[in-house]
Amino acid sequence: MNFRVLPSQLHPTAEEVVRFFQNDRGISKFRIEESVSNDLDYRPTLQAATPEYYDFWIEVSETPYLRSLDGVVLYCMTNCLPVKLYVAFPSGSSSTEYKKCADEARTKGVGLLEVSPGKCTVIHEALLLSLSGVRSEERTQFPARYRSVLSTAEATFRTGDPAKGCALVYDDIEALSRRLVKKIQKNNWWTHSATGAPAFNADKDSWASVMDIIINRTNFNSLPKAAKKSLLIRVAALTDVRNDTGHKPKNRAARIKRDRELRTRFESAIDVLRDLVDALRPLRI
Amino acid sequence: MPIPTKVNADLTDIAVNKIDRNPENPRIFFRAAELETLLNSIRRHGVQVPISVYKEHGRYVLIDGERRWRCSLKLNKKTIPALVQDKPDALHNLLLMFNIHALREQWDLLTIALKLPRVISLLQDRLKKEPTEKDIAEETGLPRAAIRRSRFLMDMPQEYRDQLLTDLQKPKSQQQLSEDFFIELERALKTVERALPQALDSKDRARDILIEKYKTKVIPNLVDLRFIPKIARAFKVSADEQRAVSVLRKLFQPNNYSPKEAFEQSVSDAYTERDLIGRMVTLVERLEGLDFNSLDSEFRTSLRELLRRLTDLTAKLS
Repeated sequence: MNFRVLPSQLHPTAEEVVRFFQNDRGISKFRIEESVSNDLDYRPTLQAATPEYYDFWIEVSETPYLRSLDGVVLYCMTNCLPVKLYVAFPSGSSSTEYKKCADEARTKGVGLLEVSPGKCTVIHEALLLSLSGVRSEERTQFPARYRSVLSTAEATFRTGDPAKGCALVYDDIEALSRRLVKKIQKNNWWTHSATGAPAFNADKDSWASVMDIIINRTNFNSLPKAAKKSLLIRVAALTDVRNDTGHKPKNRAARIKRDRELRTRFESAIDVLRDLVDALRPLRI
Repeated sequence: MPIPTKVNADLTDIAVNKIDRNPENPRIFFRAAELETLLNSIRRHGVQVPISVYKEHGRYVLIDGERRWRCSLKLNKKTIPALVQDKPDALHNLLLMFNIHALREQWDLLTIALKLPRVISLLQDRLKKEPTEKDIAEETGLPRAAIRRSRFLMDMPQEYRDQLLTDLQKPKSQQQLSEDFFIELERALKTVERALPQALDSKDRARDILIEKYKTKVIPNLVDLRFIPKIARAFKVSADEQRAVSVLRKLFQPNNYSPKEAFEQSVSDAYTERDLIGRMVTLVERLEGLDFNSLDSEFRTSLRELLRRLTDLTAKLS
């Protein structure tokens, strides 16, 4: 391997990492110290593409984290780049330095590989930076019953299953919508019409149908003031995209587009859930 | 012949990708922490000082600025400011490396030691004689002390140079063996070899044992290695040479016997005596040179009191 930047004492570490990725992840083609983007002032020591259309970037370093990687992490998050960034370091870092750097790497979603002759140990896995850049919500803003699900949803999203992460939030919004329609039905908070109260099954009808009935037939004067029609239209809009999240991307550009959309959807779903929970709080449903 | 002082050079921005490192650059180690500092500076302020290169086969070869070039590559810079100079000959190229880098960046001594034989060989071709330490110092710009210290490392067997190299590749905080350690060790063993050869059965074995004792803290610091040449030069202080041989032989065995213990059990008293006598001689000579009449009364009183105490002490000798 022909390194131009990497100090010679770290060449064996880099070579061991390549062996590890070949044996453990089936990655055989590595590019060495090449540019990844004209806009980014960084070249990873090693980089490789995966069949799932994300990239491994591996920084080989004497220490488990370098400050200069902050900008790289931020760039990937901002531009929604599907990259798993690892730092590979030779074993034997001093304990204080190691702990500080390892904590920093973990917080930023950067994976850590400790390398000794013939052995590469994954200290922790890297997160996809396109996904880990998702906004972290202050969960105390939500009632206690929602916090655990939100925590799981965010972790699921960040650790590589964004569709499932979104689905967990959608499930909570849907359940709340169904409890709302039952409350409206029980109290007969419908608008007066020639056809009378709408006929529907609150548990079995599709979420979209339920939302349609709420939006078109509810007497909004009976609902709390914050439960406006516009808010419920925002909820109804989620029903369109709900099942549109699990398709596998066909190339890297599609992956970036999908991850970016999922990030936006996840964040907006959380916003909708928070607003809906706040608006319906007086109904105790 | 000194390095030509007049250099034809054009300042221009050249493509980072068209630059190659200079194969004659003796620098082996580029420590990541140092590169990281420079990297951050270049990211923030750019390359402020141009690198120096010469042109060869449509590409450029570095003369000065390898770290700046490496950082620019890492930072994905497209170009770097450079002074493009005429291509130097082999000796001139190598001497440039020494003059530019060794003085400014404080190379590791091993780096210098590994490249000095080539400098000496090229200089020998040019001077038609073995270059002296002074010749080498003038040409390379290195202090003579650095050349002398490098020679200790040059003269070490390859096996030990490799050991040192392995340790130097580690981050500084994890290095157990240093160049200074090996220099002190070689200096000590060389003195034993010359002054008391009968104490040294095998230099390599003694070296191995002393390295192990240093690693296991039986020798707690580098300075303690300096006890060894003192023991070996027992004759200088008229100490018992047989005793010196005996403690050195014990020291060169795998045990917990340290150079300090060896020193204290052999020649320590002799050195103390020599030290005391030497100081006394100096003191007496200075007193003999004094004009007592010109001394002020306070000083005379103090001096008298000290001499009285000395007389009391010397009375115990009889």
